[in-house]
Amino acid sequence: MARGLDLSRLALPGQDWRQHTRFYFAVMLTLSVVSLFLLPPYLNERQALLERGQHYVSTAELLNHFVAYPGMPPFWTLARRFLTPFPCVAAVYLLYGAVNNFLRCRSGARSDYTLRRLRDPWEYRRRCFALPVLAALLCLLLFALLTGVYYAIYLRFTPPEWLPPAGQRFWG
Amino acid sequence: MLELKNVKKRYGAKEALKGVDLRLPRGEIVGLFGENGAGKTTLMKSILRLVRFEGDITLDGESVGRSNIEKLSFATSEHSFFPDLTARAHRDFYAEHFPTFLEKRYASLTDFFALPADKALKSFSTGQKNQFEVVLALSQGADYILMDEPFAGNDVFNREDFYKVLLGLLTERETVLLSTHLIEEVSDFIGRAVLLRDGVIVGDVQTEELDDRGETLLDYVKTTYHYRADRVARALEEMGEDGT
Repeated sequence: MARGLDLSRLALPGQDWRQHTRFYFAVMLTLSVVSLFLLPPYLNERQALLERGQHYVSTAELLNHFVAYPGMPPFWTLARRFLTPFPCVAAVYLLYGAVNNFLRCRSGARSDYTLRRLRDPWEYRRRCFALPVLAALLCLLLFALLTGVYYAIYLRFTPPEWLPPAGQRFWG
Repeated sequence: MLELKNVKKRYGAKEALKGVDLRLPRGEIVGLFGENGAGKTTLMKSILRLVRFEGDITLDGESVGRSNIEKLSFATSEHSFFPDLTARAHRDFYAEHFPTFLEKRYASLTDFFALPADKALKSFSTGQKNQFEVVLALSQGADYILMDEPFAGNDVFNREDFYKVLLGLLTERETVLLSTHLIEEVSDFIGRAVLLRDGVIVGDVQTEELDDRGETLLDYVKTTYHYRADRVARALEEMGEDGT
C-alpha cells in the first residue's frame, strides 16, 4: 500500500490485512463493472426516443404520447439497480467489519485487554474500527464518483427537450 | 505503592467486590487467594481499569490512567496475547508500545522455555501459551505485575521451574500480585497472602508471621475460611444413610 498510510497500524495485530485489502478491491472492481450495465438501458431509452422523434406523428398519436410517453425517465430510475449495491456493500463492510473485529479481540484470547492497556487511548478503537470505516467511506466515495459521472453522461447525451423538468431529473 | 480504597464492583444484582481496601508496596510478592467467584479476577480487572468500579485505585499516589497504565502488566488464564501473531511479532509490538520493555529478559525467558519465535500463538500448546502470557507480563517492564491463574493447565514441573525463575528474576522495585488456587505450591514463593471471600478481604498476613507461629499457609487459609474438614465425610455419610 501507499507508504504514507501503513494499513497494518489500522488492523488488529496479526490480522491478514493484505488479503482483506485485495478482496476489498476485487469487490469494488466488480461493483464498478456492474455499474457499467447501467449504460445499455440508458442507450436503449435514448434510441427509442430518437426513433420516435424521427417518424411522422399524427395528432391522435401525439396526444397519446403525452399520456403514455413522458420522455427520458429520471436518472435514478435508470441507475437504481446498478448503483444501490455500493451503499449496501458499504453498510456491510462497516457493520460486519466492526463487529467481526470486535469479536476477534475476544476469541482465542482476550487481546482487547492488551489493547486497552496501551497508553494511546485510541489504539484499541482504531484497530477495531478504522479499516471498516475506511472501507465503507471509500466505497461511498466511489459510489458518489460513479453516480456523478453517470449523471453527467445522462445530462450531456440526453436532448434537453426529453429530460424531465428541472428538479425532477435525478430522483424524479 | 498500589493502593485500593473502598473498591466496590457490582455485576447486576451480584456484588463482586464489597469495599476492598488494600495496599501493595513495591517489591512484594503477594498471593491472592479465594474460592471461585470470590472476586479475585474482578479485583485485578478493576486495578487495570478493564471494568468500571466505585472507589479509588492509585498507583504511587496517582489515579490509574493512561499516564501510568504502563506501570501495570497482566497475565491471565484467559490470555491477552494476539493469537494470530508470532512470538517475535509480539516482542516487536511490546517494544513499540511499552517503552520500558525488557528485551533481554524477554529473550532469556523465551529461550528458557524454548518457545518458538516464528509460530503464531494460536498454534502453541496450552502450556506454551501460559508461559508466553507470563513472559510478556514479566518483560513489559512494569512495576506491578498482576497474574490471574497464570499456570492453569501447566504441569507441576513447569510451574516449579517458573517459580524458581521468577524468584531469581524479579528486582526490588517489582511487585507481583498472584492469584492462584495452588496454595501449597506458592507458599514458599510469596511473602504475603491476601484472602478474598465474597468480595471482602478476610485475611492478610505476611508468610514470615505464619512461619513464626508455626502455621502453614494452607492451615491459615482453611482457618480463615472456616473450612470444615469433616464436611466431605458428613456428606458421604448422609448420602449413605438413604442409599442414594
